Amino acid sequence: MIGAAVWEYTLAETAGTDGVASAIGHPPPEVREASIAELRVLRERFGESVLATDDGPGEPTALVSRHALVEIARFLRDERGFQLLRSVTAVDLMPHTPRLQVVYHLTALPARVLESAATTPPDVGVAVPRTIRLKVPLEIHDAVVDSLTEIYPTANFHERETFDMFGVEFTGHPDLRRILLPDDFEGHPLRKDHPLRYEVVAFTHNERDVMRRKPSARS
Amino acid sequence: MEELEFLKPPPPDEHPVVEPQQQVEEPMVLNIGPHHPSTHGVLRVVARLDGERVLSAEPDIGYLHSGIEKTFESKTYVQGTTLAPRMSYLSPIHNNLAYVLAVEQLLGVEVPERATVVRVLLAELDRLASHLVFLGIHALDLGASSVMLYCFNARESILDIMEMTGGARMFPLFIRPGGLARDLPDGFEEAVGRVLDDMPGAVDDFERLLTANPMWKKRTVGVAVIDADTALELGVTGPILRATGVDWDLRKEIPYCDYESYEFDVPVAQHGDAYDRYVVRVEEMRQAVRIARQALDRLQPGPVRTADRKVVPPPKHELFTSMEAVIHHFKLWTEGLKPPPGEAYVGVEAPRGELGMYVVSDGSGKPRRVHMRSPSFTNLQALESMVKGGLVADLITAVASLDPVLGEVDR
Repeated sequence: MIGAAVWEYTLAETAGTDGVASAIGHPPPEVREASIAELRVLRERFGESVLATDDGPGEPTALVSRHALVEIARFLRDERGFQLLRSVTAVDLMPHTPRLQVVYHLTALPARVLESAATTPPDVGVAVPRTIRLKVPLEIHDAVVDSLTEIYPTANFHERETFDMFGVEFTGHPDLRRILLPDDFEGHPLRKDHPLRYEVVAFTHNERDVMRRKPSARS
Repeated sequence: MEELEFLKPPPPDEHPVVEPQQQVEEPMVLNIGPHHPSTHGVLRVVARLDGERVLSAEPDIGYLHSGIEKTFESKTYVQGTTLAPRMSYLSPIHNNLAYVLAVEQLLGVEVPERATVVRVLLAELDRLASHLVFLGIHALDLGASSVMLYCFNARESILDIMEMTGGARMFPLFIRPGGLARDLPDGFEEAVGRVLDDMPGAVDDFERLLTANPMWKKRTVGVAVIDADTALELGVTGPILRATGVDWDLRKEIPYCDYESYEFDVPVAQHGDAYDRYVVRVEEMRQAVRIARQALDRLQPGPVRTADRKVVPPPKHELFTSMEAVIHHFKLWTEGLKPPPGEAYVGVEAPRGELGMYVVSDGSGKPRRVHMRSPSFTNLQALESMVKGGLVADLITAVASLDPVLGEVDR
């Protein structure tokens, strides 16, 4: 193999001229600065519950304990103005443990964009939007985390999708069932240990066989 | 504006109210879709009705699920470029762009100025094409079929531009990690210039058909209303959020592709009804023409791909003289590009709202995880709060004004 010995990609090699991976500047520097300040606020307020923070390139990230998630989300929305939950998803880090990470992306809209709307966010005196990523590590055999639907109703569909794809149970979710896959689907396909397989096409000669294993195809 | 005579409600004595003989005991459950012309694909809405009133309307999705996120995990990063646009077939350029920006963020690579300008130009043409489909289909759903023909005609000219760039009309895949697939063809600028010259007049024509049309206003004004608080709670973004008075546009607030250096306005409306969403989108079309015009003026000759050989393959002539170029070429075609371990989330302002791509790299040639935060999926949650208590006919208006793309909802 020509592999690794000849060709070591390192961060410095692949990065631009200055060797910093944030060279393309997204999110923009002022947004990142304001967001990194939020990480500090979180650390001061929640101490031990914030397991780690990362203010490297890209979105500022906080790794938080699942027991504090709801509390942190409520604090971020009510006191720091994070009104928009952009997405909820998960990542399977097999073979690392804990294997699963549930990922939340949150955005705080500055007060200026809400001026003409009939809504009153808490004023934190920052004129730029802030974005933050929360990650909750979960063991695969204990993939249970509190639902955020009470705080962010938009989490409803997103958590259902995460349950569907990763089998993460969201306690307190009003209607936790599969959303994209059929109800009789077995397993959670975006887990890394889900077997890759193909769909057997039903012809006359194997129709009965296919229908027995896949009731959802029956009309 | 004067009300047309036949639109006024008839005087009450002509239509005496007839009390129903017996009370309906339980609500009727009506399935709208999955195969229905006004559901924009395969959306199934389970509506519980009390007569004409909608008690609840629950979207049932997943009919078009194609496992794109799983497929990403067995493709290289460059192959993934072909998958991303497939989820939203009405705004493929934005999907392409969001994915490529996320991969570029992982790689930490800068793209040349010309490539960024072309990306903005294509993205705004894409927005125009997408809103043209919205306008045509929305009008068609409400019974005005001629608008659709005009809109699709105008969209055709934009698809011709897309064909010039990448050879395909719907999925040109012209935007690649590190820049563009190749430089623009001859005659491209003139062709875009002609389209941009025609477009404002065409938009005026569509507006003349609809904006002051009393029938159009009867069907859309005050219909499917959503307020700013509810919209934010439900994670609604894009024109639907802006129609409620929230001035939130990622191009202005968290800019990408140097959008902060372009001059344009973000249209905002106040009432949050179907009519305001229509007005916002029509104005966005004018602004898209404005941005595209600026991008066209900025086009200067120059490289369209980064010089970083670990991201884009070397030019052919180098292969005959440089061993290093051969190695680069070989590694890129056999293993693909390898971003350092990390994660990136990039949100772009797609025609339907925030389109986010979350890419996780574990240092290998294939992504560990690609998650697509699609605007249609999130916005669809607002359907129920829009139609509750309204009429069944307004449900069709609500779905049309949400402008969902089911490929993007189900992925």
